[in-house]
Amino acid sequence: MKKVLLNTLLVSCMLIVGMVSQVNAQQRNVKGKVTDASTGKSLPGVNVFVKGTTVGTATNANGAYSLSVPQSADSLVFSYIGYDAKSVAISGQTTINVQLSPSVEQLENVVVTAFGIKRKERSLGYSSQNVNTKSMESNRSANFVNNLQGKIAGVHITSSQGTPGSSTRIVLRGVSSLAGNNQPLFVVDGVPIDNSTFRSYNAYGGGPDYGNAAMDIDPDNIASINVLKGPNAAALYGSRAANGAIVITTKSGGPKNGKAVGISINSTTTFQQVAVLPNLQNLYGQGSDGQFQFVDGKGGGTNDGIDESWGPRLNGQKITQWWSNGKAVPWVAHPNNVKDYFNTGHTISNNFAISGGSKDNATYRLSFTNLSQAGTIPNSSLNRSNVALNTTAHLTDKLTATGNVSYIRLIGRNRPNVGYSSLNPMQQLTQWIGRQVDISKLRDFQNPDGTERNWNYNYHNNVFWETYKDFDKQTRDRIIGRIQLTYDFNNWLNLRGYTGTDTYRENRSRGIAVNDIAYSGLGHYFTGDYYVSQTTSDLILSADKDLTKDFHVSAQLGGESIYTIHNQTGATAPTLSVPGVYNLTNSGQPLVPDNYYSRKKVNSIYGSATIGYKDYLYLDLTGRNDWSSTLPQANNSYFYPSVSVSDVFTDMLGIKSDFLTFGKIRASWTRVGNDTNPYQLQATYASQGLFGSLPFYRLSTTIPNLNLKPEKTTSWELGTNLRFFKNRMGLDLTYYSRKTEDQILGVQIPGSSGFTHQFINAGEVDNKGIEVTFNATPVQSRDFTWDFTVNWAKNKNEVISLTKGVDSYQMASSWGVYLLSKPGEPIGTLWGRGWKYNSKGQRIMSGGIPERTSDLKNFGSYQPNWTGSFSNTFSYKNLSLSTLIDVQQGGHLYSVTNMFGHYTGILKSTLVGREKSASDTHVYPGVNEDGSPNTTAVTAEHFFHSSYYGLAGPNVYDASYVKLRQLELTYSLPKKLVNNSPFSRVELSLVGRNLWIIHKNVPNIDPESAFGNGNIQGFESNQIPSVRSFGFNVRLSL
Amino acid sequence: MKTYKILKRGILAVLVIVGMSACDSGFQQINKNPNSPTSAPATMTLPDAEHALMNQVYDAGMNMYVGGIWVQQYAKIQYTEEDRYDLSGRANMINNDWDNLYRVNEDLKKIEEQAKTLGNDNVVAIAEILTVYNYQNMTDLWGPIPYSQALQGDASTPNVQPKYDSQKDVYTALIARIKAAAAMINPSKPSIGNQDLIYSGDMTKWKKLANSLELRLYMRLSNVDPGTAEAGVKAVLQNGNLITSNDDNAGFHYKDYPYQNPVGAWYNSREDFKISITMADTLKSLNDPRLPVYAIPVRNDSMKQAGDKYEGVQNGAANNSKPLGQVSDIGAYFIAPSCPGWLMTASEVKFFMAEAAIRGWYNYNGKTASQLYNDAIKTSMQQFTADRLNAVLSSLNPSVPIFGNLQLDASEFPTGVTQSQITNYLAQPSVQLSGSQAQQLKQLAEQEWIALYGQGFEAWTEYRRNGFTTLKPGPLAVLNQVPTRLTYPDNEQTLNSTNYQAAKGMLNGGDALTGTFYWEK
Repeated sequence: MKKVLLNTLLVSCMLIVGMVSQVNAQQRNVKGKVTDASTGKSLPGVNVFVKGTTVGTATNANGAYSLSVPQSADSLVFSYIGYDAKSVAISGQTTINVQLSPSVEQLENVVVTAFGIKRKERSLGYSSQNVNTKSMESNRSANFVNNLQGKIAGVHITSSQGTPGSSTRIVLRGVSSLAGNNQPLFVVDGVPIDNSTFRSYNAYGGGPDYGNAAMDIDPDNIASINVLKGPNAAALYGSRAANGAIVITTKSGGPKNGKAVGISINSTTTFQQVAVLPNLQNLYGQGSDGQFQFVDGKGGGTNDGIDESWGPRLNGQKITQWWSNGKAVPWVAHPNNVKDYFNTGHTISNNFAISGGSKDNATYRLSFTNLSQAGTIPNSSLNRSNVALNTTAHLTDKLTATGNVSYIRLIGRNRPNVGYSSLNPMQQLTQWIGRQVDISKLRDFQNPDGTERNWNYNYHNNVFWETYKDFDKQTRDRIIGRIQLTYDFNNWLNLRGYTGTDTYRENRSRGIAVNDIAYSGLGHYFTGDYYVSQTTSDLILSADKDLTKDFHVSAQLGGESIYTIHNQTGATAPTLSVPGVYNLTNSGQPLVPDNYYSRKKVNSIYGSATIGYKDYLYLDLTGRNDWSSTLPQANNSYFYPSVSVSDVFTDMLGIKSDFLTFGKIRASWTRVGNDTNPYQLQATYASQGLFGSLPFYRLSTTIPNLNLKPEKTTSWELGTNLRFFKNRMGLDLTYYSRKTEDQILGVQIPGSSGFTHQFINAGEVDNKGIEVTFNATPVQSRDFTWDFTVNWAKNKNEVISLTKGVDSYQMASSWGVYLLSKPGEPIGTLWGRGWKYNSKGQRIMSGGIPERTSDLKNFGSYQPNWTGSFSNTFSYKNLSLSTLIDVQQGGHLYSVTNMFGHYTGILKSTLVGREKSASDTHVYPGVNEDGSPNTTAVTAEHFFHSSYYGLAGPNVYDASYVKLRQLELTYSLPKKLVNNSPFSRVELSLVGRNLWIIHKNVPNIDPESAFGNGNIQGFESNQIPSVRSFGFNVRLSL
Repeated sequence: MKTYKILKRGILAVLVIVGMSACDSGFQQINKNPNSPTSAPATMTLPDAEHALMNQVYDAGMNMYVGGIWVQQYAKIQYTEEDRYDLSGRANMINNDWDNLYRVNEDLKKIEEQAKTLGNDNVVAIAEILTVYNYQNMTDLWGPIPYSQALQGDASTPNVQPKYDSQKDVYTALIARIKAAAAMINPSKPSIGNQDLIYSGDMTKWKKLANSLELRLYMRLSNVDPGTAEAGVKAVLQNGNLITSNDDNAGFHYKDYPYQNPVGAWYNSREDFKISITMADTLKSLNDPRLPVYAIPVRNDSMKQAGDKYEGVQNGAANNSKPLGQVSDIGAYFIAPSCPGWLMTASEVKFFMAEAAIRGWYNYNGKTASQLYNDAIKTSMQQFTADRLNAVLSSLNPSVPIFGNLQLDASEFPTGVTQSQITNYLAQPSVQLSGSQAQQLKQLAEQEWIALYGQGFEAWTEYRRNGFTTLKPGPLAVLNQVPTRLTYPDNEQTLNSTNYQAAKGMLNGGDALTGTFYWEK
């Protein structure tokens, strides 16, 4: 809280200083009227500015304006959406009337595609979508990928856990690779950056979620994000972009708003609260069979070793409890005991940037951002600082040097394990706990002798012990940088060479205190360093020339080399000799080392050409050949081409209509190859460590493949961009089809083959889909504007074939549920057993409990049917309100939280059958084998113990949701006020994220629940509750 | 023309640079795995395979969940699903058992291949003996299993979906294989040294184990194919050279913590396995001196004072059917880190000898059934003499932190079975062999069940063959009989479905826990 106050104070001081230090200069007045050059009608709302300053106004309803301008001013700039801007010299005039010409060109977005090539959107033969980065700065999430949620059609983003800086999974146009990476390539200023998580989650969970590495990107430093959705768009980035690319351009230097030095300050403070907790019962406490009495918490008393809630009814009767020192004390409910564990988290993010220089010799921009977050899980935090410097220098007329470098330091502390783990407090809080346990009494977690105080000594830690005695720390130091030299031979030909690197070293350390329930109470310590370095070097020759009046050609020819190193060195002290000393030398047992090194090299040559005819017809051709060190020599070279066409038919056909303002159709086809990870070609023996002093070695359980071929993704797409009513309405439609063949898979095979996995080229996966973006401005008046955008996308994913001898590709399993990919079905279907039903759909019971099916059955895929979003911006004068609603329809989820919540009797839904007393028996609905109604009554404890555990049927849910993802209310200080201050812009916002789950079909958890960013999804296990976030933002530009 | 010259030069520059890197001959060097070797000697792989095998047979899965608690040597006091025959949450365990057991045989196959090229027949024989032992366990666990087509994953024409062979075919093949392995052994030739963690490379002992395993294979057929069984058992016994002394017992030698027996490892974190009331009460009724070895005294003082020091847990009951302090843990010897994992012991061999005599097939060394039976019991008890016990219990020092949870009281450790206790025990009418052949066989089976305490899987298997009594399922069991087999792993349904469906057809009763086996009664 101290930090928040300090922060607020600082910003307020700056505001005040700004207001006071206004400068008075000699002024004069200029007035006039602005009209449409073609129709002669007056134009309201036209911006009128003194060139090179922020002094300005807008025309009124009659198109008239009046502006007080400084003596030094020499010209005025008139700009209006849909019209060419015009600059008019003042030269002593006091009345300046202006005619503006409508412009189509003005509307053209310029997008950054491969190799930083800027292209007019109209020339692209494939789908790309620009993201509005403004709300990313004000309403930011610690992981900037979350900020893309709902912004782009066909992009499916799932955030995982509610811990600070946890990973976010992003999939463009469906999952295509069964085993490989399905994440798009992140490119920052032309440097592909690493987005690994350095751990793979299995369906049961894993260690802490340390986040995906792309989260290091500083949203404050982003000038533009362009999402190239399909492989079509990314053909030139090579294999790594087979799943699309997120192309990020950072802000560059140079004079801003006519000032040689521009300063901007952006500060956000938000608060986080746990958004979803299970609906728990408060009628019965710990125990079994309605009985409980605490003696030693591990079975010495009556059911006191039991960590379930089938005990006595919470009637206030006196029962000995864990904290009562043998005295009988009232047995009462603590309805908030789970909620009370969590804190209100907060996130403070401050950015300070300074930019300047002159376009003629050198420009610079220096930015510093610090993000500091305290999680809802007590004692968990994240702190990240980004320093970035972008510079450009014109060394000679022809030689330009560019250098971008950013340094990132990230420290994450005490994030709990995810999934089913005793080191995840959720395992207790939402599953294995006595409902009567008073969380506040657990805060005193330690006895004077250093041992734990807890409600159970059999299976659990005190949650606060875990929170405060154990520790976890992640430290990452990262450099992303690039230097580039460009030589302009003449005005149409240049040679560029650049080399960029993304290098980081990360340390992860984890200590488990002596006396913790884990590791037999002997303590535990792990520390490991991870080193990742990815260096990309390119040499590109670019030509850009009008061949004739009508023909324009732009072409590139280049070569690239990518070299990647991963190195991992760490060790585990299995036990600790001296409590509290987390150092490998303090190990009570021989250290267990962890060491892995890998490297990979890909060399490429590529070329591309764009031929434009009359600025409305474009043909694009690209070709690239890769050589990868990871493939066998015979197959390590692969070529992939692409072709695309774009036709602005409104221009071609000379359509000039108020209804259809702009129309373009596009088509493209491409093929992209893909390689694999290093060292998949040869079998090796893996060390199994030492047995005493004897080394153990074992052959790896995967059959290698000496004949691996590159993967092949072929895709085509058709699309159109249409704009209506003078751009008041726009529609972007895309249909795509994408086929991935010869997938490199480590498939699971029957263990009876002697191996458990085999590397093969197999199968074909198809993705077909439609993406729609519709935007409109239903209301546009001088003071009030309403804009909205609808994104909608549907992807149909199907595994067409695998290979002979492989019935299904098994991705994961958890508690008797399997994640499979089988021909004829989408990737990632949940298979398991369920309750048995007869042909009439009645549940078959035996002995009062449901019978189970014996064969495995398909309970649905984790992939959604469709995703969509609806965003609105309402602007009234200086006030703007924007909202974003995000929808996922379909997709399935296996909820372990619900499974165990039923087993242990903590969920409200387990009160059925024990409404009155724990010893009640109840006839649960169902029929006997012969169709007659079930008449056998059983206790709720027996029913719920026997009906959910290990079954997919009752635990697989529909993962659909509708969420109010973002809400933002922004007030820009009026120009009048700002003009009298040193600031050129002042904005204040109230921001909120994930404020409301408007609709969901799965009880007790948030349906949005990813395990890291890998392909193993559809399992929810001990979800760390998602958070809702709200706060305020202040932006100042000087 | 100047511009084209420039263009040409530019293109050339790019091509030269790219050309230099594209044809990189260093790629193979780059893709050479620096982290692990491409081959390893048998001195490192054989002990690993032995360890992996015994860890699998003695781990919670086969030894306790399915073997030991089903044959009511142990019982679970919490999370009683397996004890209630509800395996829905243990899919992963079954998948792992299957994969790991086959994996061991693949490793043994590789060791054999290497030994053959090196001309070391003795190592080939060791690998073969272990392979046969493992396959017999597997078919005794599941019934039909992939055998003839198994382990072909990395063959030149790989077969990753092997068909299942009937249990009869597997048995026939295993008998031939164990004979061949025994014949291959030549103790005067080099073998492997102390890296063999079962017999330290002593080929004389390996030969005894091979012969004893052959006896076990034949004996298993006693009900289904008495003719083959009789002839086979007789031949093996006549030939002799079997494990008849506890010094020759075949066991994997675990070491001090952390290189410990999996039962002990389980106890490091939780103690929810207890001695079954069926076992504890049987021992009590027979005044068996092994009771203090098989169970740890209860912690409840008033019970102790009342002389009720050992108490078993009811199988298949609800969670915590009794307070933890009022029931007995599995004996300290069995949870001690260095307790060996037995493949086969002299007492089991002697029970087979006694059985052959009762059945009238053969009298080993001319001894009577009673003599052989008494000898088997005596041999079992002699496994727990003071010397032998102390050698193992020394690895369970209560002052070592890891054993702190167990709240052990070393003064209550068993002191060992004495000669006079054995004599007194055998003198009891309730122990002495008597009655009809059928009655004698039952009596022998019960004694064998007691002697096989700690070898849950083998005890359950022998129970299925010779059922000394009808064990009653627990009160909350979901089946009305003790399971007779383990269901196939789900992975076989998802990954090898055609062959799996065919295998289901070979089983009497489908892929259920109650399917009957080829060799069962």
